[in-house]
Parts: sequence; C-alpha cells; structure tokens
Amino acid sequence: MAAAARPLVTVQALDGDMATDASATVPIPDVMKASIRPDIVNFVHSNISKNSRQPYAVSRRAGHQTSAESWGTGRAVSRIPRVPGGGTHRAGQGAFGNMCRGGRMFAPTKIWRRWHRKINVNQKRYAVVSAIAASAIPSLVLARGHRIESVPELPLVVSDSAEGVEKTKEAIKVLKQIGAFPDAEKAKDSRSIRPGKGKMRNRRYISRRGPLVVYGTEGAKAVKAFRNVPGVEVANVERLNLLKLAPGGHLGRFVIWTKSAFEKLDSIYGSFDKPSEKKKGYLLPRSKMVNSDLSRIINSDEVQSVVRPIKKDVKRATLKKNPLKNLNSMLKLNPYAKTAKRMALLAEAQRVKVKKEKLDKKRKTVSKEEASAIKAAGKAWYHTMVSDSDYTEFDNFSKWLGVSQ
Amino acid sequence: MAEDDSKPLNYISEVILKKRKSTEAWALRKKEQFQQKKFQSIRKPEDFIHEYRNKEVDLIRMKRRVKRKVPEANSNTMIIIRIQGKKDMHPRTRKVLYSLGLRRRFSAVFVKPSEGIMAKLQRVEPYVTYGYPNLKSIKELIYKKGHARMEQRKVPLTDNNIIEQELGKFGIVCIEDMVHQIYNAGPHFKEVARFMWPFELNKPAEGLKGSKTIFKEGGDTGNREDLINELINKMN
Repeated sequence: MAAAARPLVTVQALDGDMATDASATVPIPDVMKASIRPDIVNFVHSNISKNSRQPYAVSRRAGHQTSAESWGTGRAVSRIPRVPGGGTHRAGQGAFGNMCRGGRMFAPTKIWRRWHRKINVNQKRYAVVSAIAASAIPSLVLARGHRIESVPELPLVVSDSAEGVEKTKEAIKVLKQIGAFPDAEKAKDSRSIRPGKGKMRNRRYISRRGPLVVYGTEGAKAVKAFRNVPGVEVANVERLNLLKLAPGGHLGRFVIWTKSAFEKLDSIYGSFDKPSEKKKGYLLPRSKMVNSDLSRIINSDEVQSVVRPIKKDVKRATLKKNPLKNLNSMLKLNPYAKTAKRMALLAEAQRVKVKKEKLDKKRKTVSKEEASAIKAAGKAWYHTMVSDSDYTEFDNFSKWLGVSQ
Repeated sequence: MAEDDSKPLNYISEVILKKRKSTEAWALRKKEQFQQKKFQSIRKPEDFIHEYRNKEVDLIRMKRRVKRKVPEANSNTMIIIRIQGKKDMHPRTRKVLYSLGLRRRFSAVFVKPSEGIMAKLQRVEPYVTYGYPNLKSIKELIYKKGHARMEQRKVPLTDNNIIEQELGKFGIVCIEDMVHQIYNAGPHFKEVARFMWPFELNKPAEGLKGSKTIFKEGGDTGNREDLINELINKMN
C-alpha cells in the first residue's frame, strides 16, 4: 500500500487565511502507510459495540403468577397445570408451560449474561491504525459510498482556521469550500424510517454517515459548529473512536483533518521504527512481506537478469533400430555390408545360371537314327511280352512255374 | 440423374488395424493377469518355509557339485545365458551370477573360457546354460542387442563413433572389429567384453522347459556346445 500514500499533503486554505505564495504542506505521517486489516477491524468493531449494551431480560415472575395445578389423569385431558376457579374462560386453561398462552418462556433469559467483551489493547490499536490508513486511500473511501468527487486531495487537511469556526452557517461554508458538502447532503437526504421494531424503541430514524471532522486543539469551538450538521461527526485526534473511523466495521471513512490534528498523528502513533510518544512502547504494525506480488517480483528485471537462461535443447534417448532388418542402420555400422550383399546376390545369380545350363544340356533332342533305334527296341519288347503271355500250351505254363513233374 | 463427385473412400491402413487389435488383446490379457496377481498377493507361511528350504538345498548341492572335476571347454569363445533363478537361489549362488554379469533372467555375456570361469559355471550350473557360438550368432547378437557401458549407463550401439571413443586405443574402431575380437578371442577380448552391457534376450516361445537338469540328460542347463546357436536364434 506504500504506492497509494504520498510523501507530502497540501493544506487547503480557507476564506480569511493570509495569502501566501507557496501552499502550506505537511509530511504524511507513517500511520497512513500501515497495513490494512479488514478482518481485525471487523472483529474489534463488533466487540467494541457490545460494550455499550445494557442488560435486559424477561421478568422473573412472567408466566408464574397463578396457582395452577394439574388435574391429573382420568379426565381425558392432558396433564398440564390448569388455572383453578370457575366462571370465566380462564378457568381450566393451561398455565406455566412454554406452549401455553400466558405461560412462561422456555429457559427464561437472565440479566447476568456476558454482555461486554474485553479487547486486547494491541488489537484495538491495530484496528484504529488500519482505519486511519484506509481513510487515506480514495478508492476505499469511494467504495464505502462517500461522495468525494469534488474533494481536491485525500487525505484532506484543512488549515487551523477551521477550528475557530463558531457558527454552523460558517461550518457549512467551510464544507462547501473544500468540496465535502455533497457527502453531508447525501447523509441528510438518506434520512428514513427504520425498518423493524426499533421505531418504538427510541430508534425511529436511520441515515447514512457523512464526513468526520478531526480537530487537534482541546476546547475548539468547531465542535459545536459542526456537530449539528446532518451526517457530520466530530472527534479529537487523541481520542479517535473506531466506531467513527470505521462505522459498521467497514473501512474507508471520509475524514477531514485540521492541520494541527494531522501534525499530531506522528507523535500519537509513532512510526515503524520509532515508538509512539503517547502510547508506551507502541510501534506501528508491519506486514511480513513488503510486496506480496510474487509473480511481479519474479518477472522483475533484477531477478530475470541473474537467472539461468532457458534450456531449449531437449535431450532424447537414442532410438536403436534393428540393423539386421534396417539397411540404413546396418550401413551406418558396417559400410562393407552393401558390397557383401551385392556379391552374394551376384554369386546366387551365377549359380542359378550354371544350373540352368546343365539342365538344358541334358534336355537336348536326340537325332533321327537314335529315335528309330529306340522305337525298334520298344517294338521288340512288345512282341516278347505278347508271346510270353500265351499260356494255353501246358509246356509254356510249366516253364513259367519252373517245376518239373 | 446427377452424378455425385467421386471421392476416394476413407480407409485406415491394415498395419494400424492390426496394431490396434493386438493392443486391445494385450490390454485384456494384462487386466486378467493383474486381477489374478491381486488375488494372490497374500503369502502363506508354507511359501516362506518352502523358499528357505530351497535355498538351503541349493547351497548343499553346490557344495557337492564343487567337489567334482571342473568341466572343460572346447572353444575359444563361450556365451553364458542365465535362464532361471529367482527366490530359490542361495545368496552365495546369486553372488556368483552377479560376478559373471548375469543380473537378470535371460541375460547373456561372452566369456573366454578359463579355469576360473569354468569353476564359476560349475557353481551356478542349474541356473545357466552355455555353449560355443558361431560367427552368425555373435554377429547378430552384437548388431541387434549390443549396448555399450559408458559411465554406468547403457548406450545403444547406433554409431561407430561410440566404439572408437572408448576402444580406439586398442585399435578397435568399429563394430566389425568387436565381432572379430569376440569370435577369435583376440588379444583385446577382455576389454571388448567388458565394454558391452550384458545382452537382454527375449524369452523363447519354445525351447526351454524350466528344468534344472543338464542338457545332455534332457534338461535345460549346462553345456549345450554348438546347439546353443539354436537357442540364441530363438531368443534374439
């Protein structure tokens, strides 16, 4: 949040101030740079607002002011205590029980509840400091709903002549000069009737909150001048109330500081390394990380200039192919394989050729004389078979059998 | 009647379809195996007793085997393949297998048979088989399954530069030189054999029965002599 704070703040001049060449400026106190903790503010606000409660409870006697007694069993009715007597509708009615009309409530409330809350001093200070820091951030003040479009600067510091204002008419004039009156007007216009039972409990009207005027001089007359303007509240810088700095536990109240009040903030709350003069041993709270935007830190020039550059070359495992099947892999390992393969193929072709020649030589056609001789031999063989098969003669048959009878 | 534009049909190549089919079959088989394995994750006391007794028996048999005569080899080069051994080995037996470089089942290494090597083989006989490889087996093994050992890393032999960097000082600059040294048991056999990572062979579809009996007596283990080449062919 340090980027939202400014080192110097201009003091806004009012009517009647002595004209000077240079505008008066005051350094911004460290309290405006404290860390903003909505969770702590909400918690502390809830507990502080409990401390102004007044005890209440139902009457001790409510629901018991009768001598009702149960009729017991046998009458075909429930066993609830019943009002005695006769002659009126009241006689015989149920009493005492929480489900009966005119009975007492279940577990009647008591005045000895735990109404108030103890709050750690450090927690309360943390909440006030957070609320003050939030009031210096325009976006938070706008988000809370304040009309600050015509305000020249935030935090808004006016000269000390504003503390001398005695009349409400003059106070309104001051608000108009510094552009704070539209917020007050908004608060005035928002006055309406309260929803709920608060109307009959002395809380009939509700309205928005306007600017908070913080003065620094005790007994300043501006207190009476400003406090009756609708929506405007007044507070002394030494007694800032969290219920006014963060109404409802919501951060971002529109605060108008006088110059003397603004200058006292440093001595009241101290800084991050110098203790406060008014609160014993108090140092402003510091966050663990000055800048929690991690991606911005990583991508900054200071970091990127010292990191190692990106590794862009990806190392992959070598793919091993089968050289026995992949010829390219084989040639890479053994260039002679090509020659050996070619020689093997040539030798195969040569062997096939030689075999073919041998077969062709054996299959050559025979000459005519040889063919005739072969044919005659075949014919002679045929005649021999025919003569040998004639076994009607007994002699031939015996010759075949080879027996001598 | 208007004719539509003729377009080629959308088709998927046969190779992809075959691959898809086999992948699905493999996934189903894997799933079935996983279910079976999950069911059998509990081990009974009998399993432990059986395991420890096997280890004791293994040690006793090794001590008896050591008393026999150390076998001899009839070749310059020998290949040893580990074919068995898991929980049924005595730690001492496993240590001998590790010293031979056989850390996995179906891993193989080339050795030059010496008396020390043969004594080790006698100790681990039921878990290994060995024999005399021929040039074809040596060549195919080194070309297909050859890996180099570089700084305890397994680097495939895809380039001769890898070999030249490591073995150039011995005059071995290419994979053919390695084959030559292994086949002939040359003067730099030891460097080449140590340079190579043990071969990781495939499980043969058939050819091994899971028996611890010696090959000559019908089993799987021991010396196969020249018949080791058939086994290498199946496992490559």
